[in-house]
Amino acid sequence: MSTKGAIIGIGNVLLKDDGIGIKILNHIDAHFHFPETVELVDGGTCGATLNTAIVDKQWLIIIDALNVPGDPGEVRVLAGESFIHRPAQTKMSPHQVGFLDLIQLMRFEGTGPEELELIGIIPEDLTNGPDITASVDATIEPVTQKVLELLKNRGIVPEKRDPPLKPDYWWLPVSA
Amino acid sequence: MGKIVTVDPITRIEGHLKIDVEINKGKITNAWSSGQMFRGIELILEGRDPREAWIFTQRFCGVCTTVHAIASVRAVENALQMEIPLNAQLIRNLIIAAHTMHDHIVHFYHLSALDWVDITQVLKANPKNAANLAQSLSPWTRNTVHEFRAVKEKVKAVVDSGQLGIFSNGYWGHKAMKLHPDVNLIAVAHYLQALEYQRTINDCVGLLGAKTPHIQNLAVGGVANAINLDDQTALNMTTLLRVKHLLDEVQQFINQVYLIDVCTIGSFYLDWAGYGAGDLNYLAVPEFPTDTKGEKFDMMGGTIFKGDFGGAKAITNFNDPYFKDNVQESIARSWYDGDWQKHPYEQTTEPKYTGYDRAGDYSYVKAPRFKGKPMQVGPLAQVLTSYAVGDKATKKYVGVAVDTIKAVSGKKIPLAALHSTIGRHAARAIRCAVVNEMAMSHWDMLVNNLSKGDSEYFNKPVFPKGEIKGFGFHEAPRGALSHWVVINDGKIKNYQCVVPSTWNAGPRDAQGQKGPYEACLIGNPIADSKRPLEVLRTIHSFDPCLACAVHAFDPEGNELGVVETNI
Repeated sequence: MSTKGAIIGIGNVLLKDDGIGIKILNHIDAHFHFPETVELVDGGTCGATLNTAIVDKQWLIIIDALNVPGDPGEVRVLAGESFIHRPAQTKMSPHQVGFLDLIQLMRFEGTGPEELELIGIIPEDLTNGPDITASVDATIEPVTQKVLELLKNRGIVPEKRDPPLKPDYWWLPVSA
Repeated sequence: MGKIVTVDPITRIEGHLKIDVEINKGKITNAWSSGQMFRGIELILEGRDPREAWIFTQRFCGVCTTVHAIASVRAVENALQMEIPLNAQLIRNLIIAAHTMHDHIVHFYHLSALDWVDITQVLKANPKNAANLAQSLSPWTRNTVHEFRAVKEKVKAVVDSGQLGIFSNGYWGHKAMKLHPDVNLIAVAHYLQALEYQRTINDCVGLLGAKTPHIQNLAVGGVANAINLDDQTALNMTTLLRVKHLLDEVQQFINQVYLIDVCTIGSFYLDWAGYGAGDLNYLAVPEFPTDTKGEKFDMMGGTIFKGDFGGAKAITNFNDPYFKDNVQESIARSWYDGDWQKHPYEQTTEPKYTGYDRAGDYSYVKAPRFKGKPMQVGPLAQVLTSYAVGDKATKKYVGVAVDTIKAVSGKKIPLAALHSTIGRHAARAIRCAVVNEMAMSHWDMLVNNLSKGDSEYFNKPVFPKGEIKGFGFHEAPRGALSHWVVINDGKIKNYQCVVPSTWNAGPRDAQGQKGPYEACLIGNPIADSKRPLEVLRTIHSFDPCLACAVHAFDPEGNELGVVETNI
């Protein structure tokens, strides 16, 4: 028996480290093939429009830049309800309000994912630009492993692509 | 000097807008609107391929993705003076319409209704009376005692648990909340139903745009949807019939619920038809082109100055010099290097933060001007310009609104009541109904054109050597949006976006003329300066979206709350 879920990257790829969630999502997409019950969603910085993408999911693994005290490149895993019930104005990431507001709204409606896990990466630089700083870029592999571990807890082992695809980092300059 | 109250942040979505208001004897006597984040995000486009600009621009803002994609391809097509196939125009129109309906429904129910609806009052409501009232106003089949009772139970469970979650920051029990408990219950029930219908209409965007939240099917020169009515892998009749079905479903929700709710709630707040008017200068651009050149449109746009309907002037095509030549932006009171007021093609984006100073520079938002005047943009501007030129659909739904308000309040309200905070909500609902009709007729046009055997959807763009310039406008859900691009040897040299929230949230200019937010706040009542709910009412009525309006990111501005200071 398998439940439907999604791995969702959140962030703005045009604001340097803020795009790390999307970069990791595309890295995972290039290296693994998932069963139909697992969807990969590039959430960008959207709130309400993600409703459609998550309404039929039972669980979410969210990858996002996380504004909490700590060193750039540190990875935090938050599970359960703790981060949902923070008051809306205590922002951990610049787009969290929209997305977490949506989750709370859906809870009230009685729809949407029941189980949430957030993998947050502490950013170094959130200014304009497509590049991700080295300390944050170094989290791509460990976060990917963490995602695989969380999936394994759900009994999901994605198939490795051999050879892997070239990740679609469309926003980076062509030379990269 | 009165008391200064700061409301920060004001948007429930994202972005950092700070509003300062000066209060004297319970009324706002002065106001300052400040964008606290710099986002010179257009700079990322310099040197890039203009054909790809739309993919980047739809990441400018998390709330209005699609609109920046549309404006961008139009700007580049304008620079090339190219036509696009009729099918492409109509497919874009359907995406625009669906996105607009999504935005308007979400804005009213999920981003602003709770400024007017007191959710805790639902516990005092009588589901049977609520059902009777709702059924007397609308044929909506879900206005049942059973449904209202279930919603009341749901709210009770949330209140009893003490975990208000999404509702924890509301102004519950505020003196300015005036709805009858039964109306509060109706509104909360529809608030929940609105979540379903925003999914319905978002599915429409997904079916046509290949994906949401970021559409994939645009191209400079048309769309990327291969069209073949009989082919499973192309845009085919099955997809189009599904789109039609979704439009039908949402039409019922808009006409029987959204428009009725806005008028019902508005009937309890008719005093708010007297606040929030501002300077009465309005700008809207035409939308829903019905030809390949962008010379014929189904929705009118133009300008109105000082509320003079008779003097309304239309903007008529994608090349109209009346629009192109009259847009400028001032940085006299903004945190940029210089004091100029310039046309978008001539602008640079060099931030220079000098501290927050209400007497000097106080915002990262520039101050757009049309013929030197601040202009309000958004659904109200669009509805008024359409009404001024006698648009039938607009007149029809304005009539529905007037009748509903009369049925609830017993009062016949004049058209001038639209120049107000509550009028902006009414205009948005009216426009939403008009846009749905537009989507239906454009669906028919598309199917007719395809049936005739036209399956063109893309014209290949060719870039000349040397410099070319273009602009693209789009009447987005939040109002007139324009992108301005300078291209040299096929690469982007300069790119500027003049976005709706910049028009509305912009600061003063060199002449000291206030921006629309600022002007519209003057005279608003404040019942309790510790909880300045009324500021939120007027600002939220514009559908603010500051991630879009502000051109930067202030790392200091992250931790926010409602702050009060005395000066």
